[in-house]
Amino acid sequence: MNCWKTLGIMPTGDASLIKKAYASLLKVHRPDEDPAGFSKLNHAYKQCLQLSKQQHYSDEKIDHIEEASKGDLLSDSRSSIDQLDYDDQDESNQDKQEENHSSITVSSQKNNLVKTTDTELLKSSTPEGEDSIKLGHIGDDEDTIFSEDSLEKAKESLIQLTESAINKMLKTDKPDDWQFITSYEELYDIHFRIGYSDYVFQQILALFHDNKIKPKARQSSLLYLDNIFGWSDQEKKYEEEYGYENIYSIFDILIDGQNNQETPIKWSVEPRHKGPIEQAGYYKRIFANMIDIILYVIVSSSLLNGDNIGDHFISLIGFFLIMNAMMEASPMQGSLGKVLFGIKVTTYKGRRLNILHALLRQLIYCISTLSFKITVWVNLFLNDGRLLHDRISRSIAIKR
Amino acid sequence: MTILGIDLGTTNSACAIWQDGKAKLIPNRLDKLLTPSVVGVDSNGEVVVGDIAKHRLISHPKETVSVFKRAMGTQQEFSLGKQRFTAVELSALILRNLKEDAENFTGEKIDQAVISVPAYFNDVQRKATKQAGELAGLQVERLINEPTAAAMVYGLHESADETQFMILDLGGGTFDVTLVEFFAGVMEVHASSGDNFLGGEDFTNFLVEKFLEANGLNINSLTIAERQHIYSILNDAKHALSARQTVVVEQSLKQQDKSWTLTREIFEEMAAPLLDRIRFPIEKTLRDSGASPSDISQVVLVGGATRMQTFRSLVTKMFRRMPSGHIDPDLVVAMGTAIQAGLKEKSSDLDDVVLTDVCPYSLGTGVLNHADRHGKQGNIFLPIIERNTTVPVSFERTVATAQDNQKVVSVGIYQGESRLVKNNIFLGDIEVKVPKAPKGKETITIRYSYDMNGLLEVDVTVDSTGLIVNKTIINSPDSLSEEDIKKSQEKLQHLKFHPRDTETNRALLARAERLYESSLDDRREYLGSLINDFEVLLEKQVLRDIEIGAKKIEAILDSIEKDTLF
Repeated sequence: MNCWKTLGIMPTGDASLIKKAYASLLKVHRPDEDPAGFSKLNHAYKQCLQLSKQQHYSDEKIDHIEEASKGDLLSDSRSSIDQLDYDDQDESNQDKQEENHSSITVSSQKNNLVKTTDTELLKSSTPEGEDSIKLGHIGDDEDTIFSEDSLEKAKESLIQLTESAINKMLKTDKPDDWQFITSYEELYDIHFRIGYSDYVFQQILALFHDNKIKPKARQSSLLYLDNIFGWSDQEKKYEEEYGYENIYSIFDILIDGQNNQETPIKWSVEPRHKGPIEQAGYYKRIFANMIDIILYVIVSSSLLNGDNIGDHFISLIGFFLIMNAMMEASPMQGSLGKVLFGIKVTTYKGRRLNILHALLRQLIYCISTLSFKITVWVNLFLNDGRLLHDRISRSIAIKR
Repeated sequence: MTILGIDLGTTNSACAIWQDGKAKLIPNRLDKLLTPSVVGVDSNGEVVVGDIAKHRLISHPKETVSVFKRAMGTQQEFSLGKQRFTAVELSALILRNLKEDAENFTGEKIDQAVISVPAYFNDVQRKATKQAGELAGLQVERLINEPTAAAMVYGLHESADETQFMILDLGGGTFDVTLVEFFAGVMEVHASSGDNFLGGEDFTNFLVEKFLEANGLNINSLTIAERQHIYSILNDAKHALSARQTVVVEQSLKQQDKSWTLTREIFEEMAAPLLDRIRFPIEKTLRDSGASPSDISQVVLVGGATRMQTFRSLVTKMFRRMPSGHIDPDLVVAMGTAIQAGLKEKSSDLDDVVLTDVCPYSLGTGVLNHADRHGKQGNIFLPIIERNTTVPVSFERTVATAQDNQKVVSVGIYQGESRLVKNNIFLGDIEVKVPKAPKGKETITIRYSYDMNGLLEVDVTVDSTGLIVNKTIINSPDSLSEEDIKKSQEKLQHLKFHPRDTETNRALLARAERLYESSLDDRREYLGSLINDFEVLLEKQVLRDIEIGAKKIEAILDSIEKDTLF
């Protein structure tokens, strides 16, 4: 059924008509008494609002085209930051000629960007409804805290400082270069802030794009700015604006960066592993194992005198069987090497192994490692991370 | 049939009922509208709640607890003397207290309630709140989001059509942001966001840190009583700062050798990291609802911590307008819960009012991450209910097995916005058995239903066998089982409570004791003798004498407090 019919009105672009119809029907289908009816009604309401907006939108577009034909596309309130930006660049090109080369390269690079008008990056500079870039827009409210003047001034100096920070970013990755942002009171203003945040993001994107810089190489600056502007939360918005392929490398850094800030090893003893079970990496496990072996060799050589390699070998196996099994069954849930690398051993369901299970696991491990060299190779090709002895002993080595 | 509306706060709680077409706030036994969310046990092993307990925080810190709402939905236990309690049990004691006050006020038995929770409370925390209500003998008819409740109070008197309000709710322990629109009797929440670990208490904690630093003290060198004392003094200083530019904290500890001056500038500078965190939920809410700051007709402040001048000026700068908060920010949520109670009672005054709320966070499950070859990232989050969807809502997604001959599918239930499940909150899981088949052949359908209380129900259907596992979230690491609830019930039944009629005198005594603890030298001795005299008077049980004695001591305490507080 068509959403207009559900609401009982004719298709319209007037949102308040839709709201009225919805409000009167809502009193019949109250959300707590008729959840199913309400769901349907609410769905229709949202759909109608969406449709009405599109109609509205297309009207506006026509206005734009008319405006464009009159030639005042970039009239005052819609003046996009890019436009200002380019004006500034011309000036700065002249001003900074005697300054370092890098600024000139950036500027000219940017002018290149301007010329390639069909790149996705430039979408935001076209005037179609991009009101987020209305930096310094002043509402008609009387209670304005920052005057138009002060915002205008702040905008100018911010643009200049951003330019120079971008220039520095071409060469180095120093978050300190961006510290000026925190000194601007005007950035408390949400509208101003969002506009500026979008502007900085766009500038950085352009810098990376034109100079083929890998975002990874500017990680600390990106994370610093993310901390200020909360970009990692706005992936969708920027994706719509610039396209996935242009932004994903930046967002990989931002999102991974957040993870890295977590503490790597948890020491709590839980009856059952909380959270998702994640396989520990193959190489981490090899290193963990090497640490164990080195440790045991040191201990056994201090205990045994004599160089009989066979003796050492047997004591090593003994150590693995007894020590590792005990440690895996203890609340440590892993040998020393494993603990160091943040790995623990559990059953498939994430529970701690009991001592017999752990002993069995170690036995299988010793046999499979010693008797066939081939297992090393088999393990390399088991691409889901569960090694041979894990499979046979029905246990699993996971991240803590 | 009265339904009680309750605002169960981090610092203070309050309750109200819907009566004669308006929300009526209920005074407690000490004739105050706010009951501090503090619980203690006294020397007779009797439980004390509210103002008395708040005074006892300083005189008997080991037998008193506060700020336990932050531990809702965790296993954390608080010790009160010899006994240990969970946050749910402590909340139940507060609720029980409020219930008694309301019964006393209305003269009828009350066993139904609407309780408010922070919008950003997750499923486990909501369930814990509901369980606390049940432990207190209240059937919880509805859990309502705090900012939504506040919005109802403002919306009820709002005559202009199609206006949008931004509600900023900074309470003692949580910060919530909600954008709500009013039109033709409908209150439609567009978007909500928040921070569960940001509130007035954090600001006081910062102050304590700064104070100790300025005086060269270490928190570990102080006794628990001294810590509580400093905390309460600086909390008062914080409040005083809302009305003036500087506050002088006189010598109040033995270790402190000079008075300490706190100015707004110092406070502002110190609070900057906390104020920074206020911005993100606001921006998120605006983004999600697609509104711009100029679309909003009013910014409404709710919650006691919004009295901070620093916060107010920040909001003014952010929105280019003065925020409004003409209804007492401490009580507005309780009033809102009463309106919701009125709606539940089908009160005729509220015939035209309909409220629609949203689910403030995304809910979903984890699916296999094919790009993850090294086990680094873990499963990918598959949202089933996207954040800020209008509730009640019910959505389903179908997923397939990931391995050949898979016997069991474990459906993880997660809440959050990250692409990877490991960064989201794990709420629990459901395991279902599926017939053996090559991978991708067996499918299950996961249905998430989110109701008006903000409680989630998950159904998992195995498509080939038609097996249905239907459960409100199970296996959640932190939620209570039926058994736990029964145990708590028994525990609470065995507790002794103060008889109501002696509470006023007890409160007076507790207050005197607190002042005794926090005073020095002569004044301390004086208070000590005052307390002794009053206790003797109480034991004699001559009502007239007690009354006169109480009045006298109250006057003295009033004058002493005025004197010591700046």
